[in-house]
Amino acid sequence: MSQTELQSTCLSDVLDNLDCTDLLHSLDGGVLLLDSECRIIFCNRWFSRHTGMTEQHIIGHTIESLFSAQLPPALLDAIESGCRLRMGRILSHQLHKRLLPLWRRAPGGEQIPLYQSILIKPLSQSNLTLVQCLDITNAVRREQHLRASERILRLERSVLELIATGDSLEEVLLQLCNTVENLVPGASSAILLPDESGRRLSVKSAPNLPNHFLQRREGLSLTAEGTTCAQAYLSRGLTICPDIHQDSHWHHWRDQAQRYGISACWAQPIVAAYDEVIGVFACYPQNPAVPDDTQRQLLQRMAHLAAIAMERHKRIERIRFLAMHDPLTGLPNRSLLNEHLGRNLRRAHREGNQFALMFIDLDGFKQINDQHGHDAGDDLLSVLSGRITEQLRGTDTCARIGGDEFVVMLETVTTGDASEQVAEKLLDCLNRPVKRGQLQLQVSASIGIALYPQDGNSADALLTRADDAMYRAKALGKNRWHRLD
Amino acid sequence: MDLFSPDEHDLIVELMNLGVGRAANALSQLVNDEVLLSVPRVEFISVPEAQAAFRKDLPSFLAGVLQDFEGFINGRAALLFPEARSLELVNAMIGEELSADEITELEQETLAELGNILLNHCLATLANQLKQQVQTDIPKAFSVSAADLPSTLSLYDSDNENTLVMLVQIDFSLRHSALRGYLAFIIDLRSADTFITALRSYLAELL
Amino acid sequence: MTTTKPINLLLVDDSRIARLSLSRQLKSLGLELNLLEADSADAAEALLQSQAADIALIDFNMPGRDGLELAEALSARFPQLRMALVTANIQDALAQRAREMGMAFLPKPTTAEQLAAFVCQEA
Repeated sequence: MSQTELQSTCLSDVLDNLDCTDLLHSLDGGVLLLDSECRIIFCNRWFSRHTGMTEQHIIGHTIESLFSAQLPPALLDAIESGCRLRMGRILSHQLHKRLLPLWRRAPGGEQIPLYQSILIKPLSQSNLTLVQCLDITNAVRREQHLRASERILRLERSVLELIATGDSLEEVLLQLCNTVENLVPGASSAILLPDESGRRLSVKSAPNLPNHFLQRREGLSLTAEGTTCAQAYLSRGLTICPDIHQDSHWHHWRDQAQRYGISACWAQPIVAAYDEVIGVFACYPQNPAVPDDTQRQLLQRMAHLAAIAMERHKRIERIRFLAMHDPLTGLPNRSLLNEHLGRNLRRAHREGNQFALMFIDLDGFKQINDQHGHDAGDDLLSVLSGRITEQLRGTDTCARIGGDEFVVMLETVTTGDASEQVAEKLLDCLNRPVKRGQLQLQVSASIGIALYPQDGNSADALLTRADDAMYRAKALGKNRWHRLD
Repeated sequence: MDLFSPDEHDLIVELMNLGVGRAANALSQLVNDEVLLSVPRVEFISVPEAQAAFRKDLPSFLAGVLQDFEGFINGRAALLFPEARSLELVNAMIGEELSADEITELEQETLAELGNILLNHCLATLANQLKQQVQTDIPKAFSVSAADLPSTLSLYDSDNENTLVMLVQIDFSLRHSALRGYLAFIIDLRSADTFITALRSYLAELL
Repeated sequence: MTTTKPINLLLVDDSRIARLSLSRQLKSLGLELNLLEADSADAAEALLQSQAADIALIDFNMPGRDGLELAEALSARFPQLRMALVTANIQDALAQRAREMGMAFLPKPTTAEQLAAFVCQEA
């Protein structure tokens, strides 16, 4: 005999000796055989196990009579058309959320209903109909997980786009809060950031919490006895308060929490590069609860996005700063000066005020550089720029526009004398020696003053006037101020 | 193909429309929303013509449902959609947000049932009106490239001389979307005598 | 005793077989009918330029304008025309739209009884 002949003989032997009933009973899935009147003439062990009914109870009855009120009409129709009209049918889970009352026992003992799909196949060689019940719970769980992941991914994508293209950190943080509130129904959320002292957390974004809740929560002290958010900040890990009413740390805020529908707090620290904690993302569910795996993942991912947004914001701010300020002294550069000047011109014009512009050139600076080196010159400049700003009000501007050239703008002056008095004080402080190691470095200054509106009413006019005045001061012997008449 | 006279062709289109309308009702009840179906066109073509048409007119990836039938006529029927749109149909029917670009196994099953309902109603209506019998097997969902479609439909196994392909265009009009699919009936002509006789006697009564 | 004048009945359906089937059923009612036929919305409107109709049975599924679109056009021009939408799509949504147009709703395949009920009903 050939190989195939041998194989087919062996196979038919095997099949002849096989107990088909036994085979059906050992299948993983429900198998029923119905006659032309829809009565069950066979059911396998899986089926009786998952309905909780014995074989004797089931055989001879129709599915309808066994479960009567509980079955959807589509299922009954399908069985009819299968048995009587010989039309095959598949009943999918997505179109029929409920089919047969099948369940299994969980490890804890509870009954869990099965997600199922049903195949109804009229057998061609007889008038019997095969009904198969497939347990698709795993597939359904997988799909729910997939959908949940996709939803988070989509939301993440839109936040990332916002981070990449948008300018506003506020908008991004708001969007993150909205995302969490979307995916944890009924919950409100907030982002808390440490204040300048680094000792208290204050609320930066909380779209659905009322204003006075935010204000009260301002200054959550960052101590070990602090609230959930404070603890999350200090411990660098997700901190959960499943029921705020049971937690002594929430004692102070219990009434408010009640009023605003908050029963729990899940606080996720926002961690930037080098493990630095830069804030806390808080989620406040409406009912006491603990986050499940999907929700934990969500909080982690949103906190991560917040970190990205905040880091990027910091970088952009830094770039902006560098673009507008002198790197050595930290003073505004020419660009920023022009901005301030323009703004002040418009304001002074509107309000009919005077203001003053001063051009300051250091006398003898070049010699210091030549004699003691550029590092000494740099140090000198740093110290002197500090002295200048000390003499000015918060609203005034001092800019470094050249190697040893500065421009000071006094935002408002009531009299011409006022600007002269300031110039005197500047001369004094710039004259004082600067100690650098063993050295005493000393320079003086030549200052040119121009007043608005008397000496000009445009930026160019005033700058030119002040510059010319400064040259005049130099010509007149330096270490003085001058104003052109 | 000249197998059917214009009147016979017209009758088949009417019967298809009837069947498809019944299917639409069943589907609409299932999803509790408006589902309108219509048959703008029915064509009878040979197997080689069908293969050419598939290559030319259908997009490169298809999703579909296959179902065998026997009775007053024997053969297999296939419901065909451009793959992406089949997903759209499933999601329009079950009203959930679109998931990944790939159709999941649960969605394949749903598509199989949609095809099952459509094909059962078309065949049953055809049979009822012609006072005949038909039986259908359970459906199977598939996803293939257009190049593999003929083998999926077992067109290569068929005896071309004796095989007729009835290609039915179906327009789906749902609340928020509209799409077009195809029903391809691969008919064994040797079994078609009963069908043709029944068709003719129906017409004779009318005319 | 007045002689009943024949009812002018317009059948609009793109399928000749469907029109045939419908006219057979109508003829079996034993009424005095003057049957007019059109195979599309455009043909129906053209026909009504020269011929009058009292009743119209309109198929929903037609290429070009569908039955409801035709009904809308006709009800504007012929407010006295009684219309019924004939269709295999027997769904609430469609029935509702037909009712809003003031049309009756007849499922396909039509039965003689339903046709009689519609045709003989007092306007």
